[in-house]
Amino acid sequence: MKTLLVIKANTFDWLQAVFPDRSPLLASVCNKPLLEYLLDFAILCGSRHFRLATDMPLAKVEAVFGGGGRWGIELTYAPIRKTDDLATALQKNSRYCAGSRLLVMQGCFFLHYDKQKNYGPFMQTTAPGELLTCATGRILIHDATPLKTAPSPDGSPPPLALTSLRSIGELYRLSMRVLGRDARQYVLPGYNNETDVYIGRNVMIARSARIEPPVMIGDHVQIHKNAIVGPGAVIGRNVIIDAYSRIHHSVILDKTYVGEHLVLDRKLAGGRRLVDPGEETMVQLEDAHLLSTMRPSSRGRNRLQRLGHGLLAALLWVVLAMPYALLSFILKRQGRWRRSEAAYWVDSSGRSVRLTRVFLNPSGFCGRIAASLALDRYPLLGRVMRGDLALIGTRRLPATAANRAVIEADAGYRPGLFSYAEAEHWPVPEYDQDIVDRFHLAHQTLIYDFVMMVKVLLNKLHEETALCKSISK
Amino acid sequence: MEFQIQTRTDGPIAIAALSGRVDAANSRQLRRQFERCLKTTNRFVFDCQALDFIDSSGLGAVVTCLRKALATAGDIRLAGVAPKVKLVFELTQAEKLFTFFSDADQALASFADQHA
Repeated sequence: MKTLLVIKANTFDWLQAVFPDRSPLLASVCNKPLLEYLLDFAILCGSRHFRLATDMPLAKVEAVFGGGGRWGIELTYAPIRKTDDLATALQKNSRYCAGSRLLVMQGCFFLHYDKQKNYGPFMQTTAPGELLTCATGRILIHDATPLKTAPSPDGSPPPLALTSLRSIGELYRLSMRVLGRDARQYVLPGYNNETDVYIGRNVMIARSARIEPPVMIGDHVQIHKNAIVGPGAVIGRNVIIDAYSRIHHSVILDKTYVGEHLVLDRKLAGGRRLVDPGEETMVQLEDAHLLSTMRPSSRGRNRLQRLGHGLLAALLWVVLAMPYALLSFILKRQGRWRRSEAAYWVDSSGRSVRLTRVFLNPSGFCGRIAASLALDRYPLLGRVMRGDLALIGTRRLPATAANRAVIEADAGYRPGLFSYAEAEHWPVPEYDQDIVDRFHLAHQTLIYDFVMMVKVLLNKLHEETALCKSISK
Repeated sequence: MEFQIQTRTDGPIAIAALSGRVDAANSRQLRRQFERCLKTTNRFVFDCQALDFIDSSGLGAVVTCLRKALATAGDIRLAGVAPKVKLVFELTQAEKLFTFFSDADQALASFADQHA
């Protein structure tokens, strides 16, 4: 048996209207693309050849599904025109369709099936024609291959139904239904050691955060302190739920940052867009601190960033070597330069290193220049080059038991030579600084860090210039 | 649409009709105008029927206004808030601070009921 799926872009107009930057063919229910549910079903039917015929761009789908090797099938792609009907699509794929029974799926729908059942005999013994239909699609068996005589094992057809997908509300309700009621019927992504809790790879959950089933969490997700996720929460891949936020009966799509102290109850959020699926209303937020789009994380990117930070630190080390040697010597002689050492946590696993702290008195000409060049941080550049510190990151926390509890409870800790809050020129209190640091950490890239670093250095320069002016007055 | 505030008084209650967008660019204007009105009354209806968008700065301004009104034993009632504007109130939990009415007349009547 072979399978042909015919989907046209206009069947996803409702999704494109709300999320125009997301590929409709990768629209998902419970973190699993709709297309993958259909692949699974085709496999349950005994189909080993699956063809997707569509007028939509295929690059993103091909990148995810490839040739179908992950599912042990042959997956092929065929372009069709917007104006092609099913008959034309069949005609264009006549060579593929020839010589075998053909399961044809047409339109945009969700197919309810049960992974425990064997659909093969049912499909082999069902007469050609329309099998199931709904307002937005249908499933039919094509071709007149002679029927096999064996009846289905228990005499009754296995469970099979279609749900129309015409709105973002229907997609949301479907996600909630699959998560809350039908999860056992499908192969869903993530580990499932606890009933109704599915957790993906590389998920960091703060100790103080609460997970209330049913819940599904995708790969590369951070859930920060005192956040509550669930019941009824589907969290996509590359998502950050910041501290104290609550997600109930809601769907958070891939690559989304959810800021602090927010409540999403019966909502769907993706990037900067927030949807009320009940009212079918959508708002695009302009505050990146509330909801925003995340960039995907990867180990390779982290290594590249560490390398980039190290190189920038090396550059600063060379450029500032002479001023550091000269000014530290002068300031030491004037008693305005003191050094001490203290242990600091350098990552959230509890590793600590002793770091040099310089106390610099910025009064006097040399002191002001040293402060404006941030020479008090110069001894730490070596730590950045070794990878113990980032060039710019979160506030460094001394290695105390209390701070250990803080970094363990908070997944977003990457201590830096400078903090993002310094780039924002953020005043006290420290709690506010931490919010700013965590926000930038969630959005950082190498270029972003470079820009923030320049901002820090300009701020330092500006502070000292302002100080000079106030003294001269 | 440009942000506009039109105020009128209905007895001891001031009605501020907000329209357009309330964001970082004009939230200060809202606060200033509110403070001027606060000298004459402490009970307000913010008619948001023509309000298209509010961001966190705007929301902060509206909450500041509410705090100032409450400090003088007054109140602010919100009327005709569009669903997409209300989404921002819900997301940030500011929804719990306000009483919402479908239109300005109902909001005005609620003040009257309170004092009846």
